[in-house]
Amino acid sequence: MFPITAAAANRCYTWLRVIGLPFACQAERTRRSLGAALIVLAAACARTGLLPGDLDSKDLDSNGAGGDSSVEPVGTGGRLSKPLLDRDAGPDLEATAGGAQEPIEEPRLEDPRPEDARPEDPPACQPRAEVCNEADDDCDGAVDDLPGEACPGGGFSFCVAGHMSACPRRCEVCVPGSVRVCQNPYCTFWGEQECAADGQGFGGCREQDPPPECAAVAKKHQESPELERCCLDNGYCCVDEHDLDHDGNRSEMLGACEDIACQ
Amino acid sequence: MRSWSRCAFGLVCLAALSTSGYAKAAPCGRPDVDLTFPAPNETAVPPNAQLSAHYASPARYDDEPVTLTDGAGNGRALSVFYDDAESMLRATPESALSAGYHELTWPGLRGAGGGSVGRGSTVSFFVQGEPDSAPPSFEGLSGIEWDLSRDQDPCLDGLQDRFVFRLALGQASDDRGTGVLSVRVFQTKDPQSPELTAPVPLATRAFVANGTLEVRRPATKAGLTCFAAVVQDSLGQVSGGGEREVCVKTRESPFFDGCTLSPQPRRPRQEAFVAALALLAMGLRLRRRGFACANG
Repeated sequence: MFPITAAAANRCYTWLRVIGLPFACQAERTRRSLGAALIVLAAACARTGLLPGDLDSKDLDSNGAGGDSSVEPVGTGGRLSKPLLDRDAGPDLEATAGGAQEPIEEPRLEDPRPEDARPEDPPACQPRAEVCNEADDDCDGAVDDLPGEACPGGGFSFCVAGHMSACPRRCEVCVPGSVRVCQNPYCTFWGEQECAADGQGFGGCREQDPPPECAAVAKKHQESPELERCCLDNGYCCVDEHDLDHDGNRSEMLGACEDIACQ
Repeated sequence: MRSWSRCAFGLVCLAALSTSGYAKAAPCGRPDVDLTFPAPNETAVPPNAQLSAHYASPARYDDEPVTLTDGAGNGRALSVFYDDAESMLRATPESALSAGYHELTWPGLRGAGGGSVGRGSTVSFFVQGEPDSAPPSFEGLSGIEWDLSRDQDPCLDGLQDRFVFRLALGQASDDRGTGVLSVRVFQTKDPQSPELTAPVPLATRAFVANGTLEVRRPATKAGLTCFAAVVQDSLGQVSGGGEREVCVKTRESPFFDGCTLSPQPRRPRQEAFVAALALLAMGLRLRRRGFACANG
């Protein structure tokens, strides 16, 4: 006969909660009666000594160490690093600006659970051709060590994170320092936007005098499809603010944009 | 008087020193050579190495010569190719390099938009040892930190908000050492493109053992951001390690672009003071008028 200790009863209660027994039914009455049954079961379980072990015997934190007493944060040294199980929680758990964090690793579906693994009988690697799948197919100890694939426009595509990467482009959004024409809603109705030095975006639309060929249009129609048409017809690279190509995209560039666009 | 002029001179010097960082910033969009393989003064370049130079901005290659000379001053024949997508000029020696000192000159190229000509680079290195044969191995990225930065952009009048990510590099090895390795960094998750499936190439850098490298991304949208990397050796052979992602969740920038001009809100005390002054002035005026009327 085992004495019922508070710790043993608590462990039993936690274990039964984990398996979800009392919360399977939403009806209040049923839940209440199941709750009472749970307490009886917990007492019985503690008396008989059939303790299921600690909560983490199922290795919920996937750290490969079942039986540790708490769900550990991923990484130990990071300020405000977050538990893996809470990785989709709200932003209040996130690091503040400038925070140093341990990496949030992606969970691997193929990681064996400790209860499934058989250390005495490790599965033998069957060599086959390496493919881009986050696995060591050819059993050489390296995952996805594939040569780069040549891209039609230059550069190479590489296997990263289980996918072949996009082909490189000469810039991200625009060629650094290049200039396109935009429309202002006031004064001259004509402006210019310059591309940032790292090519990651344009600056603001700075007002300019329209060129002579579009000055009359700007004066008569102001900010309008007519002015955008004049911009295009006179060989400029223009923001498609009036969607003249009817594709629903009003932030793209149209016209002579070869020296500005990245493609 | 003399001490005043000395003080003024000192202040001018201090001002000049404090702004020198801006003066040193690269001109807007100029395609300077910012990275070469082999790196300057590299001492263990394999005889079958491929040579390349990266330009900081997209450039236009018009068959400008790339010259390679050995220690005796003899020129070596090269086949040269400009990779527009990677802004990379590649030169492959037509025969294996001989052991010893070499000097390689990369030309300055004109910007893709027809702008100014960038700075070229002359690099010295030593060839020795066996040819590179085995591909490199790499553990992948091992850590990540992030910060917010407001960068003064040389092309724009304003400041640009950027997330700055510092990525820690795991261990790498190669049969010819790590001095000839380059790192290719990819973004695998981007809060701006949640549906992103194909990793996006971001940068190519020289590998630094136990080092970190920095990438800057637009701070327009915060959220889960992940990176991965592979390394390449002097032949372009690729390592593993790209399967290991490092991720971090960024937060929105606390900066804002500016305020509209509007009068400052008056405090109640100020308003009471102004009202009291107005009442006093009115009272004085009435008193004067009353005095004048009484006299009139």
